[in-house]
Parts: sequence; C-alpha cells; structure tokens
Amino acid sequence: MKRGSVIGPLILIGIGALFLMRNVWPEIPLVDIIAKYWPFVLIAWGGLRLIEILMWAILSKPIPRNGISGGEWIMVFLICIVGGTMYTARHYASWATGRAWHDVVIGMGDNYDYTLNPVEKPCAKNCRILIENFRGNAKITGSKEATTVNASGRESVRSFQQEDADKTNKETPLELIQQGDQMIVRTNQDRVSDRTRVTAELEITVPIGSSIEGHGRMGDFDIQTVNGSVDINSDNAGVRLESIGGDVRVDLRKSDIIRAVGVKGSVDLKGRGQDVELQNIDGQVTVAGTYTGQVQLSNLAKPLRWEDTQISVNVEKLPGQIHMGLGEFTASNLIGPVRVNARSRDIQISDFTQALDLTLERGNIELRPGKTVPKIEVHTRSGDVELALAEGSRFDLKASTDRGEVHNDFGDPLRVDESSHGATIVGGSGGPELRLETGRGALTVRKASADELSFPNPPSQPSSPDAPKAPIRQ
Amino acid sequence: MNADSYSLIQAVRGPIMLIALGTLVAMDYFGVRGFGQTWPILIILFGVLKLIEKAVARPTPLPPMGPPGGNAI
Repeated sequence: MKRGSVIGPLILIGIGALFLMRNVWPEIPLVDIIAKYWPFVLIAWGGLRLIEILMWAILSKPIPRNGISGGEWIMVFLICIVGGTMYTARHYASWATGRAWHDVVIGMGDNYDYTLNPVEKPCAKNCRILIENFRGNAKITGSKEATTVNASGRESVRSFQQEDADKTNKETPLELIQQGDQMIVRTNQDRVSDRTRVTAELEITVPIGSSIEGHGRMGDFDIQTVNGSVDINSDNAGVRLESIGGDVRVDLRKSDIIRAVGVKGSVDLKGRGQDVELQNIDGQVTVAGTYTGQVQLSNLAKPLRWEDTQISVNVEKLPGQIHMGLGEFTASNLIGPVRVNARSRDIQISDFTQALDLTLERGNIELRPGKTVPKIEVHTRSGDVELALAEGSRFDLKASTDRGEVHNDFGDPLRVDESSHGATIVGGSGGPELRLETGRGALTVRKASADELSFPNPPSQPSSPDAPKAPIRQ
Repeated sequence: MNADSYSLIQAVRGPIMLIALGTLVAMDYFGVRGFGQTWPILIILFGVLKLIEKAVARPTPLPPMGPPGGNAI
C-alpha cells in the first residue's frame, strides 16, 4: 500500500512557484537565493516528514520502516550536489580550482596569528602604490605629513600544526619594494602552497598625493584621504572610499558593499555585487555591472550612466538622490535629460528638469515634476501611471491606457475620452509635450499638493547624513 | 508497545538526519560554523539514534525465544 505523503506534491508546488516567480518578478535574483537557501529545503522536508510520522504514530496508522526511503536519499544527495555547486559557483571566483573541497580541508585546521614586522620606505609626493594580490583586509590612509609609505599589520595562518604555521609566517614577510616610480606592497602569500590559507590585516599610511592600485583575492579595501587615483580589482571585496582626489575604478567579481563618499574625479564601477553607495562625486559616474542590493546615489555633479541587466539610467546631474532596491526605483531632484529603461520596477520620480524618457515592461509609475513641467515620454506595457502636475503649469498632455480606468483629478483643461478600446486624457495649455502610455493599468492625472512641490526631498527618502563640503548644486 | 516505539524511532531517524544535514549546511552558508568543522555531528547523531533504537528494541526479541530446554516436549 502506498501511503500518501505530502512531500511529493509540495515539491511540485515549490518548483512551480519558483518558475512562476521567475516569470513574474524577473529582477529577483532567484539563482542567488536558491544557491544560499537550499539547505532549508532539506530542513523543511525532514521537518514535514517528522510531523507526518508522528501523526501516523498518534493515529495508530502503520509506520513505514524507513522514514526516508532509499530513493529519497538519492534525491537528497542530488539536491546537495546541485545546491552545493550553485553555492560554490556564486561564492568563489572559480569552481575549477576546487576551492570548495579545499575549503573543507582547510577549514579543519586552527588559526595562528602573527604580528607582521612593520616596513617603511620613503616615497615621492606623487607616489604610486601597488598592493599585490593578497587575501585579507587593507586599510590605507593618506596623510599630509607623511613622506614615507608605512605598512604594518597582522597575519593569520590556518594550519594543522604550529610548526607549519610558523614556517608559513616566516615565508610570508611584509615587504615594500621600489620598482621604478612604483612602490609595491607585497605580502608574499603566493609563496606558500595553496593548501595553507594565509590572510593579512594591513594598515598602510601613505603620502596624501599617492595613487593606489589594489589587487585582492578576498577581503576589504578601506581607503581614506588620498589625492591620486584609486584602482581596485578583486575577486571578492567590500570597498569603502572616502575623500579621494583622483579617479576611482572598481572592478569586482563579488562584493557586499561599494561605498564612495567625496570623490573629485570620475567613478567607474564594474562587475557583480550587492550594495552601492555613492555620495558627493564631482566626476562622471559610470556603472556597468550587476548590483543586487540597495543602491543609494546622491549629489553627483556630472552625468550618471548606469547600465545593468535590469535597469539603465541616464541623468545629466543629480543634486538630489536616487534609490534603487529590489523592484523599486525612487528618485528626486534630477537634472535631465533623464532616461530610465527597466524591465520590471515600480518607479517614483519627483522634481526633474529638461526631459524624461521612461520605458518599462512592467511596473507602476508615479511622476511629480517640479514647478516647470519638462517634456515627458512614458511607456509601460503593464502598470498604473500617476502624474501630479502643479496648478497653472503649462503642458500639452496626451495620456492613454489600452485597458484600465482613467482619472482626471486635474480638471480643466484636460478631458477624458473613453472609447471602446481603452481611454485617454488629452488637453493642455500649450507647452512641453507629455506622452503617457500604458498597455494595461489605471491612469491618473492630478494636481500636485503644496508640500509635494516643496522639494528637494520626498518624505520617504532617508536624508544623507553629512552635507557636501562644496555646494555642487548648479 | 515496544515494537511500536522501535519502528517509530527507526522511521524518525531519516527525517532527523535530514534536518541535521540541512541545519549544518545552512550554518556554514551563514557563517556560524563551517561544515568542514561540524560534519562529525552527523556521525554522532546517527550513533545516538542507533543507540536509542537498540535500547528500545532489546526487550522485544527475548520473550518469543522461550526458555532453552524447559517445557519442550
């Protein structure tokens, strides 16, 4: 007799739900979520089966000989292989190096900590500093008084035996090497075999005019007060930059956060990561990558070009701020022309100038231009569109929905035309063209209230903590 | 009664192992403790469950065997 278990149907429902999610919310990083949370499927499976067996026992029904049958264990094994592979692929630069297994082996040793012998070497005012491929965290601080590069820190060696760790520590001294006009900070971690894991915590002080180039395998870069450029390249890093005089380039395979506050030059981000926070940037900001976390941009004096798989944003200047999270985009106080192109997002933009060109596949749109209405062009295949206009502003509106209601809360001179195919709101007093189009969704045009016009910040936005040193607002 | 709890323990072993496995892997992913360190817990748990099984099962097989040479005709 086959006893009915709920697990099989639940697995089917789960798989169906996952595919549905992928179709409905394509911006959710499903692969990342599965890669990280699959062990909970095992826990849930075990938990449900446990409850089932206890229920059968209480109801005095026959209990199966094995709680989990041989076939099911094979299924569990497969889930582990697939889930583990996905996790490894997401969390390590290259699975081919066999780092997963390597980690299991390395993970069994103990940590031995050492203090690295500090090193110091004179370096010219415009010193170029290269931090060579290493594993660990580096904190780099520029100082006006400094005429030398000074590096110190700690090293941690994971090993089974103290002697091995001591030997490794001797083999990996911290060195400063002058090569042409470049000062190389070398941890010598590559001297030891890949089976021993060495990580370093470095504190480096440099002359303020220095430029920094950092290569890392895993670990954070924390750089403050340098007037040169900063170039970071790492497999996995958190990058925090503050008061940088030159250009910033960050290229990461993985990161939890990239934060840059106060950069005089341009900012160029590439690769994959989660959170991004850019504030008070004087140069152009170019982002080409995939960032799945919270994005907060504020006070950018030059154009912003953001391109990722889910959204592309072009803004000429950003005195206000932009916030992007999972499935949302909120912006206020932008200088256009503004162009936003996204697959699936709820969009809220207030106080923008020049022109707005917004194309969406799916998502609700809420627009509140400032006192003077710029040219607006909005297309969405599916989603509600709401436009709040200041009373007495001049414009020429044509808004249409193929399927959905229209609300004219603005009054004259707008009029509603509801035909058999969708509905439109048309009218205006002569002025910039406003074209709104939604394939399916409600369309609302209303008067902006007084506090909606008192910009810069809409109430939902968190205010940025510190004011910019130089007023960048034009 | 004993037969019942014996088969119950036996049936429950799989799910408990599965939950433990999932928990250890999840702990690894969330940085609590690496699976490289915690995997022996699975062996210990399996041993403990086997032990409980044995403890419950021991009295059951004895009565049917009967005394060796007493009442035989």
